[in-house]
Amino acid sequence: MGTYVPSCRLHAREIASHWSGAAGAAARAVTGWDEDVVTMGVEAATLAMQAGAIDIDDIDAVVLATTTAPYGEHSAAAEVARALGARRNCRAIDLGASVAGAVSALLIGHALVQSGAATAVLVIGADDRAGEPGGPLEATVGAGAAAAVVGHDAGIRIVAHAAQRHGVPTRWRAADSPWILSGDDPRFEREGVVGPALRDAAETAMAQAGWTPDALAFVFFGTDARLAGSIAKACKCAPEVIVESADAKQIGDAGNAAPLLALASAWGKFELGGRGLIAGVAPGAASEMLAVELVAPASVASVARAPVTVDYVEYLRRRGVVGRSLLPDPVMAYSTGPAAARDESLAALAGDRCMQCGSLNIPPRVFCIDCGGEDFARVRIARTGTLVTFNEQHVVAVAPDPAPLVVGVVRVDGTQGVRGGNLSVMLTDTDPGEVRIGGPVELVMRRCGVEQGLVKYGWKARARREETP
Amino acid sequence: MSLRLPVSIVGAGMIHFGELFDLGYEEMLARAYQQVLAGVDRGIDPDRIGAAWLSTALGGLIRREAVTGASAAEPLGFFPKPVTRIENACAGGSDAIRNAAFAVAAGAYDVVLVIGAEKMRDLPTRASLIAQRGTMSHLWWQPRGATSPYLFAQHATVHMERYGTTREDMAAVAVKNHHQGSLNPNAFMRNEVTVEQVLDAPIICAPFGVLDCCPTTDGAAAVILCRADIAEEFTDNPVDLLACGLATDTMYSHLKPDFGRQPGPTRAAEDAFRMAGLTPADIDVAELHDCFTMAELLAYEDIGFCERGTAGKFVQAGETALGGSIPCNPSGGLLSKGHPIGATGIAQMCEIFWQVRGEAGARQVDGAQIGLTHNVGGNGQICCINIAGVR
Repeated sequence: MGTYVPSCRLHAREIASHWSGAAGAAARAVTGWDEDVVTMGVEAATLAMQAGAIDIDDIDAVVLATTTAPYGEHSAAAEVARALGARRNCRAIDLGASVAGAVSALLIGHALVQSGAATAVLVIGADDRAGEPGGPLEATVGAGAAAAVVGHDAGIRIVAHAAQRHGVPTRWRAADSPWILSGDDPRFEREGVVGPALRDAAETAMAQAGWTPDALAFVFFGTDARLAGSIAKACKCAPEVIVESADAKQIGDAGNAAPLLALASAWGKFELGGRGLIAGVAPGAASEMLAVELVAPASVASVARAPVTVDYVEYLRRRGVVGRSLLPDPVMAYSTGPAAARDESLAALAGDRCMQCGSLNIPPRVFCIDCGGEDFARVRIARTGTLVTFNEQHVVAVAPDPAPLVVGVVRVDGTQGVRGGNLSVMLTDTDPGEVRIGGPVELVMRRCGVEQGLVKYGWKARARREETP
Repeated sequence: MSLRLPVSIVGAGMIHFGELFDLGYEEMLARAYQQVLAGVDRGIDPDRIGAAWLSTALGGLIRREAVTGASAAEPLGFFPKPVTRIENACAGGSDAIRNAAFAVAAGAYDVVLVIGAEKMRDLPTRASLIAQRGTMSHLWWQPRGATSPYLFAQHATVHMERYGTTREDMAAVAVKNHHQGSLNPNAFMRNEVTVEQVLDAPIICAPFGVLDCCPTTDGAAAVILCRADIAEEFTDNPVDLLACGLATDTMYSHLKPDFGRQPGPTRAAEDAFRMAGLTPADIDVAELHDCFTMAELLAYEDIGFCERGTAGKFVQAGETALGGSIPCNPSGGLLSKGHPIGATGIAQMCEIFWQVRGEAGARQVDGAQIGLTHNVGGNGQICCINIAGVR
């Protein structure tokens, strides 16, 4: 498994200072101005494949569950698959509108493998959520992504499953609104809507597995912490069996990422053979319950970066609520034109290594940039490197790129060539003060502008720090 | 056998560079044409001009229409004679001179016009150049977020780290060129600046502040070339175009072999010096492509006016100021005179024409006989160096 949580945090007390009586998680994760569920999903998926030693060529399907896809129509899963360099015949499946979707996606992946339709499926839950400003969910929802590779040798075996539809909507977001709203009766939500559904789903899953509640070592659960009591009661287990993500109170309820974040952060804490449930809850809509058994040691990778605090105005700016209008990207029809189609290798950050001199040609060329050779091998470009030169831009061309930002040239680690082996990139998630020639960076996929509503995804670099989580 | 071109310059003219809100593109061209015709000592019948070359870089980007030779033929009343448009980024003006000179040398025409213009200030400064860079997510273009100053700022970062060059060294270029531009009636920014003003100016792209950058400029300039053996029909004091060198390098930052130096300009200079049979020490005056202060420092080293890594000390010692060993940018350069892209290389040659004929007034380089123009496109992806001198 792999997890990615944006490094920016908006603290509940900062929100409360602008509204009266706001409460909730201690902080919520806030996406960077160039992040969305596609970019977070790519980071989490890359780490998941690293952790499981799985090559992208072996992935037969990418299933992305999110309520906050960048598009109403156009597959975000396909964008993730393209950035990962997946095979063209790799299936891309999008699940939307439900924050229980990631747990459903695990079941879909499991079913694809069981049916023989796939041998390895990449399951991603990602969300970038926002509660109505001043409303009860503003401080409690968050952002993040988590991914799991589902296959025959999975470390977590799905034993049984159950689903239960809820009675009435209690949380919703209109298609044309960025804000999640909620009904104003949280006790009714807990005890009249979600609780009974969870109880029925848990009982059904345990009955199918032949388990009793005392067999449960854990219940992985990621949704709103205020529903944790409901689920403990529903599963007839002690509250300490309920497992949230280790830092849920610093992330907020990251929707589809939440149950997978919980699973990833606690998998290694339980003994092999341990039994429990994975609960996906879309309050007011449906619950998805998997009975699972841990059959292999945890293999989880995550990015640990020191949190950066953002204030409420910056948060609202990133949400597009405040801020002056800036120059839009010029319409070049790049993202929807032949040039972007020809650039597929770059979308996945691949280059050509010259068979004659070894120079890494980025992008692929007919004649080697260093020796003129014409024979190449397509290779994936390493995701780390060092800065050759850089500059701090104080005037930027287009929205929403904020000034100052750093642009530079990166020498990719382990490459050869005089002119080959480098990339031109913007730096992101980086304090200009920490940038230096020779400084280590890692390459990350981010949004590089929007044109005609189409997001231009490209690769940037961020300073690589030696830091402890 | 001499490799020198059998081509002379017999007229030069330009309009006052600036933010020419009241002049359109076609009118700028026509005004520059009037100036160059008036600049021929014995006058010239326009019918003697057999062909023209037009240099414009941004036509399609700013005017949103195709710029062709007809874009000059029409306002000048030049049709149906041939006009070729040259587009070679910021070096287009010098390359237009080069192409026109080769046509004369080949015997195709006796007399030709080279004219360049750029209308940049029909858009806000922010939109005219800056918005044309870094807006794509192509990895092999300049990176998202980069603007034109980055093209030279990336060299500055390395030059400072490697050779200890300072912002003060760069500021010395701006101070010198603004002083010299203050003496040039055709310059856009004729104000003097101090080192402190340059250092304290708002940062655009570190290490460049706004005074390290040339202004977004409207302008037009023209020269008339002819066969060297008929030059004296037009003037007693022709200027011979001795050599032209053009070189290319990659335009993409990440394909550069190094930073803090530019192989293209070095090669263009070598070719031009070989054709002219000269060395850097023979040059009396130079117009350099100082789109950013660091660009002039790189030019000293790339051309060979000073040793690699010593450009900062070279300018600080006054070697490149009026009265120095190799005065550079007596016109004020791009920093002060302005940089209307397609016109720039031609305006550089206008200045050399006036300097070597001793007509440069308050900014005259004493005894100048041979001059050089250095005209760079992109971050060194294209460079044209032309050398001219009196007989």
